Amino acid sequence: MRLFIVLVILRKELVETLRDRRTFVSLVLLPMLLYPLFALLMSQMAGAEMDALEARPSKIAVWGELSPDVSATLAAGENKLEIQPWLGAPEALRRDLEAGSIPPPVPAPPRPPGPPRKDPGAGPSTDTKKHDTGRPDAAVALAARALVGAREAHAVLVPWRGFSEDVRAGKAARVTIYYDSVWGDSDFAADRLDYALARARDGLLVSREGEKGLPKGFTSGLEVVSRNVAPDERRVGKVLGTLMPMMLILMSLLGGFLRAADMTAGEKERGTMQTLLCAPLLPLEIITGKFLAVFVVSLVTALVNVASLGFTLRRILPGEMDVPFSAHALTFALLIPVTLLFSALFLAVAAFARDFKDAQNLLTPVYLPVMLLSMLTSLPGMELSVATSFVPLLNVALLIKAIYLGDVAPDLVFFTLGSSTLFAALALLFAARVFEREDVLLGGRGSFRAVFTFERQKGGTPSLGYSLGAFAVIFVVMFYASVLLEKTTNRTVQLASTQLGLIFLPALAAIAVSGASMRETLGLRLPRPRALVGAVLAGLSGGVAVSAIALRLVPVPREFSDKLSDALLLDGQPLGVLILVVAVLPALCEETLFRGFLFSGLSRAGIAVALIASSLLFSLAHGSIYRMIPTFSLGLLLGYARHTTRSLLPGILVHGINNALVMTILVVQPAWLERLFGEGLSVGLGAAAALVLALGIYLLREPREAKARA
Amino acid sequence: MSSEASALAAEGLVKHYGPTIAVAGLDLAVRPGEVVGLLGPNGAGKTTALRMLAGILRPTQGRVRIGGIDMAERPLEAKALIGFLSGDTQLYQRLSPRETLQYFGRLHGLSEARLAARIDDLVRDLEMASFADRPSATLSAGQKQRANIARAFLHEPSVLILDEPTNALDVLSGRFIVESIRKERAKGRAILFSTHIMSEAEYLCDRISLIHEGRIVDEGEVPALCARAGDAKNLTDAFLYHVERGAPRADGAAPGGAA
Repeated sequence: MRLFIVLVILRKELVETLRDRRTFVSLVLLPMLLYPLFALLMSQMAGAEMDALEARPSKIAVWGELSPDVSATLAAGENKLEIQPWLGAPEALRRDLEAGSIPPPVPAPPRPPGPPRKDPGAGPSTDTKKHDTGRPDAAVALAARALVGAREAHAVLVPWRGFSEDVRAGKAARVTIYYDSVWGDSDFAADRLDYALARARDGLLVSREGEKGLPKGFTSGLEVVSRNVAPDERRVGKVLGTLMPMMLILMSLLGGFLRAADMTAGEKERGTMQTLLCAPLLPLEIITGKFLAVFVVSLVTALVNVASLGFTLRRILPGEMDVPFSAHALTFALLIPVTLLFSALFLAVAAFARDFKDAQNLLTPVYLPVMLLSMLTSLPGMELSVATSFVPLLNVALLIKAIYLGDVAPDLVFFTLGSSTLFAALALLFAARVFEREDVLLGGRGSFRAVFTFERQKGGTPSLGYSLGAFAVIFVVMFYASVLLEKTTNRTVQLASTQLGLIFLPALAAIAVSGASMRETLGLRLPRPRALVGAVLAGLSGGVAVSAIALRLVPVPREFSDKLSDALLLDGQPLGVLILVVAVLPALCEETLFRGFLFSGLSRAGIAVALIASSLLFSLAHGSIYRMIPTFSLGLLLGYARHTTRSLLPGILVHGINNALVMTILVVQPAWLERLFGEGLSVGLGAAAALVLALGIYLLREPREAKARA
Repeated sequence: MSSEASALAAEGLVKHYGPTIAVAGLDLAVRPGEVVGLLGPNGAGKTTALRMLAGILRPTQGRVRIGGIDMAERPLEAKALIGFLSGDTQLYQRLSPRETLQYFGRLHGLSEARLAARIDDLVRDLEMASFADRPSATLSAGQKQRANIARAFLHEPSVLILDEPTNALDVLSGRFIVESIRKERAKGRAILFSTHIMSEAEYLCDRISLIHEGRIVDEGEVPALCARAGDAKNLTDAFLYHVERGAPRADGAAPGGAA
């Protein structure tokens, strides 16, 4: 073998590789940027999470009597422990503890690291709590688990009977800490308790040794036992919840990834794309067919992955973890919007490639962030919150984690599904736009820039893609900004600035930037007088009619409705201010965004799509699953008013009157109303409201001939 | 020649790719039962012109009419009348020719009964019986091109646009394709055809359009073309004459005016 020849070949291959800018970007530039960025993000997030943990005091339920000196040490300010005597202790348990009829647990020998051992006697039983019930302090552990599980306390501290006497008598006084290792706050509380108790012990030792003249270290002071009360399924769930979202998402997307590359770049490479393009077909038909194919492949991959995981947990690791079937079903359901989003994105990006290999180069930069985002779920303390529920992919990964951990908040599921669907719709529009570009589809000539260039239109209503895209930006900004605004104390200012600054002005700006006609987009025309009468009637009756049905379908927890009315009352502002801020402003601002800007763009896809999609987004923006049916129905009513009258004004009236009515009732709370609502909304009242609403809708309706004339 | 009588007519077609001008004002018409050859050196704008005529590319300027239907206004109806074939087109590797034909037949909205009958006819006429049900990946270049021809003929289009259909085929396979095209002419189809093989063009075409640097430099029947090209002996010489001059005809007559 001649080294010279090898070197010549090596040199030529490297030159070619380096000249391919895309290879260079995905092989060199991307990792160089991505890992530092990712590390920075991770440390920032982990740091912020630690700061937050440290800032929060730990709420400790103390079930028993601490001696005064230990008590004082624990309560010292720097420990950040909030001591709550007997918080949440069941009566019977308290009696038993006070009587001393429950023996304390013995300190266990240290266990080797590794997965939790199976109880040899338990066999493949699904009762994972068996070895818990066998312990002497099982009753205490279970009660503590319930309290910590309900997040009413971070940990439970049990000083066993005779604690104070033992301290006084110079014996080892026994205490046990019950905590949940999976919940970051609880784990941290246990650490704080451990530390505080150690200091108390040191204090005791010093005083005892001094008193008795004993050599240093003679006594042991306190005997502290820590008991992790996290149920086994949560402990295994933590491991699964950390790994599985990543596995599931990555595997599901991998199936679609390769198909997307083959269907676009592969067809270009083989020259079959142009035969497809010269057939009598719409570009949208081609993209939709291909998109659905990628989607189905991803979905089947997702199904196989979830099924395999479910089977593994049930058959191969029985008893380790009891994941109900519904959790697997929900996990699969969550993978649907993710696969939707990425099927569209993969297809759009791969369409730019010249050939299959090129497509893989282009798709790698899309796939890497997917990997990193789903890896974020393994960060300690990374949980689904309002903020993370709007980050594409991360929200779903975190929700899957939450499902395995068994703590799922309905509102966050709602946000996650809603925002994921919105992102998926945007990705699909992007893909459709790419497929309308002949230069992208025929060769390598297409550039990303051309697809993103935005041409201002002249008059008319905004395009579907633009309105949905701009809405998504407004929506996400509104969401994060309102989270920040929550820190301001004045709720009136908070609400008014959200409405004006985050909804109204951005909507007007979006219309102005698009170049669309303000008058047409917003429906600035005066409707007929009878439509206005209809709007007043619908505004008065709509809320009651809708709530009468909605409350029967999804009962609202008392706690939620109290909190909501409390929030709406804006710390006791007078009724006039309330009507201005909670009724007039939202009616004007929200109608401008939802029934003005958004509705006009959506109308291009047909009236049914516009009604349903705008109402869904309207209900999503109201941010609660309990308000979903009422706000969705109200959205339909408002959308219909906008559609039939071709004016925004009736909707503003309906919306404003509806809100003003609610505020008046909340403030005045008339006695007759109390009687009327005594048992919730009665069927009779609901029916009466429905009749008025029907009359209102009838009056709103624009007769055919009037429409034809226009 | 009036464009009303034409099955395919292009008026003032222009295509820009950024600063590059690929086609700089092209007029062309093909009548039913006529084969028109588009000849030009590499990079002359043949493929771009044919793609605009087939409705795959949107012209920067100008218009295309297929059977009197404007491509820009009613693209789906216009495209339904066209059969397009390019020499570099391959087949779906994992589908057999028959499955490929079924796929495109359905895309063209053919009824299942008519589709089955058409496929049977084409398999017989194009002698595809031995390989119609084999995966396309296993076929020879000639077999693949027959399957491609079948796809272009499938919906009995009134206009055939063929971009170097015999490209990379051996003499035997090439001749088979050329004979198939002649049979389609006999059925009254308007055929626009580009090639590099001069003998093929002389044999097949009723008229020739010479394209160079995005423009038609001369157009007409072969003897007339040769006469205008300094009394060239054959089409090859006429072609070289125009390409080497690199300019429109000396007499300044409008392209297409000679026919």
